[in-house]
Amino acid sequence: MSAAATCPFDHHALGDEVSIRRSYDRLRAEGVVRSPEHGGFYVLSRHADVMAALRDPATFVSGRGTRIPAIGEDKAIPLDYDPPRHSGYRALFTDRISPETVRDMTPGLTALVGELLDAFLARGGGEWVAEVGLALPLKVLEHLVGFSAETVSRFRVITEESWRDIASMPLDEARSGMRELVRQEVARHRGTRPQDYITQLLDREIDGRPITDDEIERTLMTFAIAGHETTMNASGWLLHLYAGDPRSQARIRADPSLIPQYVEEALRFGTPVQTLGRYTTRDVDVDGVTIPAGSRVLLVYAAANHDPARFDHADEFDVDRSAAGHLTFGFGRHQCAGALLARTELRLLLEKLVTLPAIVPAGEADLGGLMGGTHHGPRSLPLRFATDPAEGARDPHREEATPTLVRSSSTTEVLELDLDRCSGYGNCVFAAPALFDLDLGSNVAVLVKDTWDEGERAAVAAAVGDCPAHALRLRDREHRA
Amino acid sequence: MIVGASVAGVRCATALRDAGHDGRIVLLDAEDETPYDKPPLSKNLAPDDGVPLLVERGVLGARGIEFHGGRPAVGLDLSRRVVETSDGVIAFDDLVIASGCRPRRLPAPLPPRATYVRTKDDWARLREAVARGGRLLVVGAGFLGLETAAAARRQGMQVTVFDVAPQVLRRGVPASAAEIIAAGHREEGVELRLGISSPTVDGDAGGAVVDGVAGDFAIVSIGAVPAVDWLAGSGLALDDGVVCDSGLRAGEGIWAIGDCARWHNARYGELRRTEHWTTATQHGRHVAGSIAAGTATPFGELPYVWSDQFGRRIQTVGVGGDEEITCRAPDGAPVVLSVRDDLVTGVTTIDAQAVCLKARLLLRDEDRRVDEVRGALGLGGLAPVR
Repeated sequence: MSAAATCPFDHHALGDEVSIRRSYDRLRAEGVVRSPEHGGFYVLSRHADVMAALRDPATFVSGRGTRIPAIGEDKAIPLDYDPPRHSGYRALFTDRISPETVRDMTPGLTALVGELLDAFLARGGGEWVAEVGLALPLKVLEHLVGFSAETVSRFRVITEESWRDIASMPLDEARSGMRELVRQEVARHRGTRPQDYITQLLDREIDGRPITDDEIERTLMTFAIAGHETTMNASGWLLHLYAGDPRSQARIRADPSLIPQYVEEALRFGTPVQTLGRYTTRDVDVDGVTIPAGSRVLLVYAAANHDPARFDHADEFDVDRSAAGHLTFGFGRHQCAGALLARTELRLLLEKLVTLPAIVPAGEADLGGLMGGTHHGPRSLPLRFATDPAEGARDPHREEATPTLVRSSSTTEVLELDLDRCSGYGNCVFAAPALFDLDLGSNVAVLVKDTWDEGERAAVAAAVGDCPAHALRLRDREHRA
Repeated sequence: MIVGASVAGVRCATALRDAGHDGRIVLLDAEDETPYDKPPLSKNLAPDDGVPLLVERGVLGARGIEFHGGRPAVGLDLSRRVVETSDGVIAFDDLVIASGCRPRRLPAPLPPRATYVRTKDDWARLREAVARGGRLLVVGAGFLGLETAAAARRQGMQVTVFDVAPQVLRRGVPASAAEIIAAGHREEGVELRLGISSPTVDGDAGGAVVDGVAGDFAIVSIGAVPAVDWLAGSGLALDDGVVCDSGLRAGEGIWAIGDCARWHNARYGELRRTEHWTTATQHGRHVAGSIAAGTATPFGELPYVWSDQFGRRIQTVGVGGDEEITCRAPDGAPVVLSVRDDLVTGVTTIDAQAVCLKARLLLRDEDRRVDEVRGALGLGGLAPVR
């Protein structure tokens, strides 16, 4: 056994999708490493290593905090607890989000998803994250927990503020705004006692004694934060992939029975919760490296989900794979309590979407960096419904006489990419990296932006000239067919 | 003044206009054809196939590019700064030499039912032969020969490929990748006769014979040599192409681009000549920028070449090494690393374009360590081949 290599990895400093992927690739190549950041911590990034830690919660405990850095002693319920306390706390969540309750909620969820998407369709599309991605879990939280509409409308801003502060101040301080908000809900429920979960919570017992106000508030904070951030990011990833990969979109539109595995693959590929921490109670050997007792250990679920040793062509979004074994919901004792609810919402979204017109990007998605060193998903995702039959998804089972074109425009010109001709030579990515990328699954080019400006004209012209497959055309706007 | 209207010359001409050059631009070519793209000549052999144009004549006219087809350059007089052509002299301020390569020829003239493959005329004859069917004899198992073999086989011809070398693609790709490609050809029913002693083509008006095998038509694809005979005695340095500095300059206001340019490649710090389509486009644009700006900046490039055979896409970036490592891409596609001193000098992929692109970005400026490349490309299945 040897000491871990040093690697200056900082999950709070991952600014964009490319640097995130590259950092994870580097971590996996190294194996178990130690980062000197935030007082020093070990990093597990290979699927087998993350699993080894999750299978051994007695060694890799949660009770000393699951965030790195862990400032102060404040704890989230139930994340930051070990047995025996953990069991009672976890039941506060699993009782409310049991398979039976999710089943009972499904008709209501179906109606809610239908309303949100019909409105989205009526507008021709819009900014997904704000209009659907966030709206859906907030509405669910009203019903599931009993928060008022006024209360949930403030969750997002307060949560974002807390992520900004979480690496520099104690948990409770970073979440003081949220604490104040749930306190008001507790007071309201004590007064009027509406028939909902919060009112039930007031009368709960934990380990044979009445629940304390602090416990109620911490429970509600977890519902408020984990209950919207994760689902919002998951549906953002889902739609980013759905709009950005016309071929797989066409697949599930043609065959909706693929929806459950599409959801799993999107969960694997996107990994809304990318990291969480643990603390070692003894010296432990992982992958040939000794991690001493008393070390903080960061589990990088997202890196594990893209580990080629576990998932073939791991960096590709592949609807046909079995994504089983992904660690998006964690594993074992602390596995996400809301997983079934999340899967149900994502499935219902796709079941409705495949009945609507195809969806295409309407601008550049902002994938952003990790929020609070943990959460990742599109911060904004402009989408629109396809109006032109040649654009967006095509049915792979149908013979098409017209070429499959995708377009990107400036104010005066239209750039057309003929997907039937594209052979994935990649010269366009070299000439105009801001506009093009190669799709990992299909090995053909994708236009990553819907519009470009005059400053990019030279790069666009170069990409057109450099295409060996003659798959790119630049034409004046008025000549657009 | 640009001599040669293949991809390097045409891209240079249009890029000059894109860069704001407002002087005269004269584009000259030996062939009397609207400039067309050459890679499809060995790929597009079906009855309906055409050869795509690089640019339409109307666009050349609209952009003020004077195109003279069928007017080969025959000499260069540096003191008078004129190019001698088959139809009089043309004066220039800047000269861009883009005359490309011509096929390497066999010692004896070819019989009637045989051709080299370099021009649209050659392609037209080859396509006619494919339409007639029978057996195609391919002399030379390089990219051009194997692509032609695959395209003809797809059209139903019997195909026999000959080479004096004991393996296919000896110059183009690592041996293990070449083996995979050769196996693919055999699977498709192409007969490979490697290590033959004499690649001569005999024949008459009815057919061709190579190494005792009779066929209905033969193509010869044994490499190419720079088409720079017209520059002999001009005073320019000629040594396997036009010798240039790192900015693709062969003299004051004299530039060479594409297949015929042997330039000081800044990526490698040595003279190199690259017969790749992508290099030609990059050269054209780079020199256009230099002429428009009145400066010469160094041009460095990681070579990149592709080949399409039986629907498989073979791609190579970089150069060969003295060791090969065969890996698997994340989806199982074979990826061969060429290695020298534990540094990856080149990467060859088969049906893994996205992996190839990653490799190309990774190696763009310098060779990288093997473990770094494997990690970045997500390669598994490490198995040294030799």
